[in-house]
Amino acid sequence: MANISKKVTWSGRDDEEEQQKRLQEPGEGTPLLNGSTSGPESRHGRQFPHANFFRIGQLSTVNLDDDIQELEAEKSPPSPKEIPHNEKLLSLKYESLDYDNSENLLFLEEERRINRTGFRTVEVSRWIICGLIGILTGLVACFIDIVVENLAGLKYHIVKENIDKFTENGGLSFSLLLWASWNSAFVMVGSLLVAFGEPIAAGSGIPQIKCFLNGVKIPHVVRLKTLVVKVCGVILSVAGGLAVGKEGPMIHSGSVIAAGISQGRSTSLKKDFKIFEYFRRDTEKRDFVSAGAAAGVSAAFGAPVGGVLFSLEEGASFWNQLLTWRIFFASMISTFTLNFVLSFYKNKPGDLSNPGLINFGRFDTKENGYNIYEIFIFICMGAIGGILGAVFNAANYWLTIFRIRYIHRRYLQVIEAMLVAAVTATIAFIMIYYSNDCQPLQENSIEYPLQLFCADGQYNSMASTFFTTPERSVRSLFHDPAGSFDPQTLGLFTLVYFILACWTYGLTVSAGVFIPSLLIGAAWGRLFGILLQLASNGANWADPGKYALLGAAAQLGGIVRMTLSLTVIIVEATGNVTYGFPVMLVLMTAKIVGDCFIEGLYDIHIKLQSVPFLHWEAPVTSHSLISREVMSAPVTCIKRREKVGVIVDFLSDTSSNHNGFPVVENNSDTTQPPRLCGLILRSQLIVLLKHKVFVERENMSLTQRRLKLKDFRDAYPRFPPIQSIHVSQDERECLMDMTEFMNPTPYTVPQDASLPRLFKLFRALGLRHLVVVDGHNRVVGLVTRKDLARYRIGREGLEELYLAQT
Amino acid sequence: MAALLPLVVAALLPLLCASDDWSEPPELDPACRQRLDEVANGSAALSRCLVRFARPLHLCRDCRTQFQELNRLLYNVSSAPQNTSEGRCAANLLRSDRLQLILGFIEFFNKTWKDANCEQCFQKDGGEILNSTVAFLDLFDVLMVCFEHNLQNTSESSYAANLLQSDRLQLILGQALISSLPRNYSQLCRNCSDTYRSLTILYDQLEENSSLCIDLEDAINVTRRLWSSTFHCKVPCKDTVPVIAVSAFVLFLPVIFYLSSFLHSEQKKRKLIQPSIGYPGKFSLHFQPAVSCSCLQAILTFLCYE
Repeated sequence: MANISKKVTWSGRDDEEEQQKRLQEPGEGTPLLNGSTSGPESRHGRQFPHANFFRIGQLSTVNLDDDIQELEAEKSPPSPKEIPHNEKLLSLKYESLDYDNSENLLFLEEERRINRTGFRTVEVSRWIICGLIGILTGLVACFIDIVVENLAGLKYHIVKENIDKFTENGGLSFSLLLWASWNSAFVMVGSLLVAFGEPIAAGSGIPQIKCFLNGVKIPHVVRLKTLVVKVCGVILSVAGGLAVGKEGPMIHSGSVIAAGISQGRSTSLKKDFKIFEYFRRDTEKRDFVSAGAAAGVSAAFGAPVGGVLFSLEEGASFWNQLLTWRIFFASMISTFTLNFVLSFYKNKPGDLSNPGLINFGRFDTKENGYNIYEIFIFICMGAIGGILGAVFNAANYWLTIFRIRYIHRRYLQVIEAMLVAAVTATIAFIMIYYSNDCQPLQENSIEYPLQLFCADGQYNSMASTFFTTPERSVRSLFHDPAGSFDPQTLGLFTLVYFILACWTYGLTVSAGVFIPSLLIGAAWGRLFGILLQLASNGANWADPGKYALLGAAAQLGGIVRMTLSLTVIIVEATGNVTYGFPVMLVLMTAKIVGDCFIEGLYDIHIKLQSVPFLHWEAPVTSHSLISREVMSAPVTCIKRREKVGVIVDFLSDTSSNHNGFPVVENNSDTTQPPRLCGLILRSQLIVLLKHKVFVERENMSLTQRRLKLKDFRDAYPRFPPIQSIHVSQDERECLMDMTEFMNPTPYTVPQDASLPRLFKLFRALGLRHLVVVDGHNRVVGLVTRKDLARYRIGREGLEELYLAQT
Repeated sequence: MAALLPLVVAALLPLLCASDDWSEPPELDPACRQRLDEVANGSAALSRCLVRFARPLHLCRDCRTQFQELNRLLYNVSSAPQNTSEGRCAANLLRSDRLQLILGFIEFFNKTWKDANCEQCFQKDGGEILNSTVAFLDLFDVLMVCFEHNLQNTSESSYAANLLQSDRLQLILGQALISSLPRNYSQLCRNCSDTYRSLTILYDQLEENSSLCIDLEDAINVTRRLWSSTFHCKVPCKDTVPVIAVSAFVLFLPVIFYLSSFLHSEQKKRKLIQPSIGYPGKFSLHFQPAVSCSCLQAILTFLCYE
């Protein structure tokens, strides 16, 4: 939250106010050069069609008069303007995390007290935590896998018996209704849990974790309750037959586990194990969360290296070389745990052959090589994947906007999820019903073979893609021998599943997009392979399974736009290094082609959530913006020795929910603004108020316990609101001394530092507040995350986003 | 390295010469020769049987004797103790060249036997044929007889009472296929459907108990093919209208849902908040010209692009 006070400025003034202002400036309201009389807006940005996106132009006229006018305008309270939700908003809901260490006196004291063995203990406990993260993530993955398998098995068993019964005597419409209602029932429970339990658990959770690791505090994202809702939600939505996977949510689950374990307590359960207290701050938590995300990927795909790289590529905005090895350790432990426990579940104890939730099967037969001339084909497939991915993302973008605008009531969200589930079952049923693609039954090839209208001893090939969990369909598309699927079946399946998956992502259920993307890609990839085989008169290099794999990679790359980590994940999950190069080529092409049209799915969703996300680089054309233009001002400063009453008033001012306060010297000279001497956070002030660390009290009783860093950590991460702290009238007159508690060396920048410079500081150091000072070290403004995230490269150059209440 | 090589060879030479195979004369001794002949005959018998009963499939029932016999012979050969002459014979026969032809053959036979799941139709430890297998085959015979009776009723084919079951199958197939003109098998379907159904049920039971071998699998495959493809007995009851009605109803629901939420749900609006921007306060006026300059430049460049 910016440490700013509300103030009217240049954009979005309502008419009344403009009128008022025009009256104050006679002459300004007269028709201007181009005849526009639309108020002072045009005075600044007349030449620019989108004046509020081009503050550069408007600033040209900044002068003293303007300044005074703005101050005057501040007095008339603006009535807030309302616009429909769009992607050009920044929500005030999101705060930053404190990744910057506050090096106050308490901290130094503690560091002195901890000796070398103490630090070694801390280091060892980091490793222990990473191990625990791995183990628990693996166990959660096992739990999900086993429950999904049993629930889905039960459902398909019942529906299959029903269909078999009604095939001969008629009445298949009842089977359809049965299937649809099973799906809806599962999804309804899952969706109710998410919508009314913990809405943040919706979706795959990867965008949320990405934001968390970027330094944005998404409320509730790493709570135990979120984990419970997420796990149950995933189980129910996969069992409910939606076009979703359980792999994406594993990443979120792993992160929650990591955040929970590293704190050694659960605030939800009100249980404190009194361990790992050293790690109770945002910086340490962030490192463990990236380990948790890696462990999640590793458990989902059986890809420990892929997990580390995923954390590096998608997640961690702040990477630490020392961290890599620890994260790798967590990943390894996680996949091993999953493997080990599943071996017991499958009655082959000790047989470690199930490294991940999804098992792509082995790709090491003799034909599984590739030839030099196939590389061109692979690049074409990558391009197709990129285009299809862009179409998917664009469609999902519009759908999500519609959902945010119109389907915001919770019961509507639940109904929507149920409808999607019912329609998914119906469409699948129709496809199976009208499919004439019958294939002879083979041993153990599919789990729930549906005969329907096929001859005895044959099964419906469409049913082997629809009438099973998505993971199994992917595997059968990869590995079923050539000729198991008709081209028409595959084409129709691709089309239908594309629409269903696009429609499903963004529902209020917890579910991932990895598996549906892989499935779409595998279907059209296999189709591609079959067509190639036909075109080349059955050349044996055109193995449909191989093209299914590359199609899956292309489609997934086109949707989520990951490159490095996805290559490694696919190589690890298939256990085949030979296809490393084709997969890499395909993913690169898909990303390049897709980026020409629209961003990746996760970035779109981050944008639509109005999160102040900082990308790798500042917008390229922003060097002319300087910190004076970017910063928020005026700043609420606190004196080094401040009256308690003043602080309480600052903190309880609801209109300005500031989080960091520059601390300035107490000087008698009131004409000059005082010099900066530190920075103190809201959370610290609240702890100080709670413990009543007032100067007067200190003098009264010398025996009073001195506040330690531990007291701040104990309150973390849910500091009590200011309303819960009672301060009597007498105490309001007391003084508080910040010297010991404030960060005495906050980062500062001069007034004309450019935006990219600020951006680099923020991005590299994970800052939350950056104080802008003048030449005499006097505070003139404060730069926060939102001030930087507001500028973005859009279609027409540099854009500026609105701040909005959501 | 090159200098070392002769040394190594010299060191190994006595070892090689001490080996039993080395001292063996090139010709086989008569006992060994006889064993080889036995194995050859056994293999020949088994191969002949396997090929003879490949179609219609009768492997497990008819070739089991040969298979067991061959295994017994080989066991005799290979189980001989190392240092006896028989042991030397075994080593000579089985492992003295690169091809290891006999072992290859044995491996093939064993694999075929295993892939065919033949032992699942017999009692454990090489015992007699299972009762369930016999029951299944009997039922299959009954069904074939039923097919034949009914075929005969519809066409003028000769009825031979004492045909072998396999030949009868051939006969049926031949009749059904030769007369490719569409015929009405509805009577056949009606009359044999009970038997067919009980055969299918029995098959499913056996599948669950995993007491199926290739013979039974092939029998059921043939039956099913005859039943569904040749006789077209399985006329699925396509109740298309209700299915279409139900699915149209379900597919229509989302349309209503989205339309109604678009029309009736109030659009969610976001309250905009004016960002408090930095402005050059009175303490920083001395920076003003520089700012104006840079901003002017920005405008100029922008205008140029416009």
